[in-house]
Amino acid sequence: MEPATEKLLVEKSDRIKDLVVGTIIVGVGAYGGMSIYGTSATGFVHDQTMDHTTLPSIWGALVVLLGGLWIFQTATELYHINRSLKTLGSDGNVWSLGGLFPNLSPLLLFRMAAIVFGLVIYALTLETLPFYLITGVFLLYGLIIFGQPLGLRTMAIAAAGAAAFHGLFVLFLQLPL
Amino acid sequence: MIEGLLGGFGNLADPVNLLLILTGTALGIIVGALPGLSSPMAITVLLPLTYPFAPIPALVLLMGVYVGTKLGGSFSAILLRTPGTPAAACTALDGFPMAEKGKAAQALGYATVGSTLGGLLAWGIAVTSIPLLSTVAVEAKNADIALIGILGLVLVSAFARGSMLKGLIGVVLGLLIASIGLDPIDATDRFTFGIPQMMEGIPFTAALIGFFGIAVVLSDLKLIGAKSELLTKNVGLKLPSLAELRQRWQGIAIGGSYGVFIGAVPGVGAESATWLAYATAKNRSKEGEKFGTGEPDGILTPEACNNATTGGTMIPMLTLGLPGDGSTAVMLGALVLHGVEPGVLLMKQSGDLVYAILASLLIATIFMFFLALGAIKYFVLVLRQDRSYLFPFVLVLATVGAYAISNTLFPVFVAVTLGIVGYILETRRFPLVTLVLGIILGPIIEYNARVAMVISGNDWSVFFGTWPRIVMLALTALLVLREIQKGLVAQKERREEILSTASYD
Repeated sequence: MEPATEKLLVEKSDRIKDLVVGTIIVGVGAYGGMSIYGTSATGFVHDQTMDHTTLPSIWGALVVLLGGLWIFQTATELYHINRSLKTLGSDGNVWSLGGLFPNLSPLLLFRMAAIVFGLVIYALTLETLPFYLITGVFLLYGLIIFGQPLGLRTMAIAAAGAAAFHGLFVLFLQLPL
Repeated sequence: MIEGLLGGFGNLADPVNLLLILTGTALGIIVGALPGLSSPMAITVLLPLTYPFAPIPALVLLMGVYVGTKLGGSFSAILLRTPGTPAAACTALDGFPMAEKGKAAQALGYATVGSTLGGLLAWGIAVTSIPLLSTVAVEAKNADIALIGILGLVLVSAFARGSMLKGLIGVVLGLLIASIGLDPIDATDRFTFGIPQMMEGIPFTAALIGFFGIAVVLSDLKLIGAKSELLTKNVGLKLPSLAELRQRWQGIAIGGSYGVFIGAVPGVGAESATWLAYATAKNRSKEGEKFGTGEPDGILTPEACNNATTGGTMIPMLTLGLPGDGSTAVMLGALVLHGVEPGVLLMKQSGDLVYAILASLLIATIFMFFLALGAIKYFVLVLRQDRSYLFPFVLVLATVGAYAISNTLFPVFVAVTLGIVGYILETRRFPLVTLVLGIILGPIIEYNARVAMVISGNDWSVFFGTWPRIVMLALTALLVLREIQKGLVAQKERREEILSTASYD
């Protein structure tokens, strides 16, 4: 593939992701602004010109306005990218995992998903299992996920780390863990 | 002022406080030296360790980290050509070529001396201007405080990395997130979805941990496996002579003054200041053509500038409650966490804390110099380490930090969720600092705007009733208009760039 075509395809996938994120942002703003508008105050003060809905409604409207501007900018760029790709004779197809995320290797994606999953499990067990034990297991899991071999050295690092965290948080700072 | 400052030093005379500054500075140098790890991230993950501390020990530890990261960034810039922090990128231009010529020790010496002198100069300016500005700022009324907050947010959006449009979107998203929970005036539920924990709002520290801790780790996972080879195995540090420093005072003065004054503009930080200082020093130098080939002034100037921003950013933070950069945004959060309200009344209500922070800035700068001088070969050891060892430890610190906010799991899940959101926004080049600032300043702006309205009898003209308020509104409008114009030009250029890509092929 020609370098210029490749560059434009990367740009195109970037703009598509921008459009998706922009649409979510506009949705959040619209929900925020509209759901608060018209709700009544439960407190004691009722004769305010600026009440509990005023600023959140303004912030929501601004999110919609600014997000809309960003979407417009992005869509315009996407239009020009598509035109340029057509000039270069490319079909401009980026609808695949590799096409949409050219810099995200399967290994990187796996590491991200695995570490977020591990983090959630670690958090869920914080209140039920001994801190030293689960921290050691999480450190070992993290080290392995990030490419360290499952060996004595890795296990020793995880155990030493868990001991250090136990000393710091439980013994020294006396956090109720 | 002198009395207050002496009191500040007196507070830090406690060996525990000195040890905390020393530890913070050493940690800061290590974190700064590691490309990909940033000062806000280090301060955020250390924040939970300060929960049991009083405000002064907590803040001086964080100040040490802040100062240390500034110098640490130059080590990797000089020895690897990869800056440890964005602000140290400029140092690589002359630092790396000098190291390539076999003068790594000299390059590190120039960086250390430049950083120290820049830091000292900035401290002098900060310590004289902050008490003076505070006496003016303390006169501010509720409407002024709300407008200062809005102007600060627009300034941060305008000067933060990336486009202002994304900066502004980040700010208003942050303001919207800050609206979650019970309304500050009449305690009405807002966006709580029936979840009792949401009534207190989004835990601020959890948001910081998410945006500056978990999101950064997710972004930096791509660095795993990237082991770096240093230019030289025998790393030492050779200081320039006093005579040489006298010859090169202009570069240090340019760097130092740019650092303080540009650093004092909310949101600008050290990144842009170092490049401007470097360009000015190069243009003024008789040997400007030598810049980029290992010229000592090319290291002294950006490093003096980089560390001088530590004093500069303190000015808006301690007088107006506005952060100069991402690190000071987290420190504002640290103040809130320790029960201190940042803003125009900070000096009046917590003068001892302000002076202790200023005193710790000087002490950390001095510690930084001696730490680099005595232990540089140990600090650069971390440059050879793979990140895979570091990230699991950072994540444990982040999780425990979030859990310890209320000893419940709710803040942990908030941190993880915002970490993922932050990572996605970061990949779309949103400056996360704008979001964090929206979350910090949102409640302050809302409370003061509404109190101003109540006091004025629901009269909107309260927001443009005095000259300073008109000036602030005009400045806000001007900044937005200027950025709209810049945005339109940039979009036209982007369109031409896209079309030219096709025509060149």
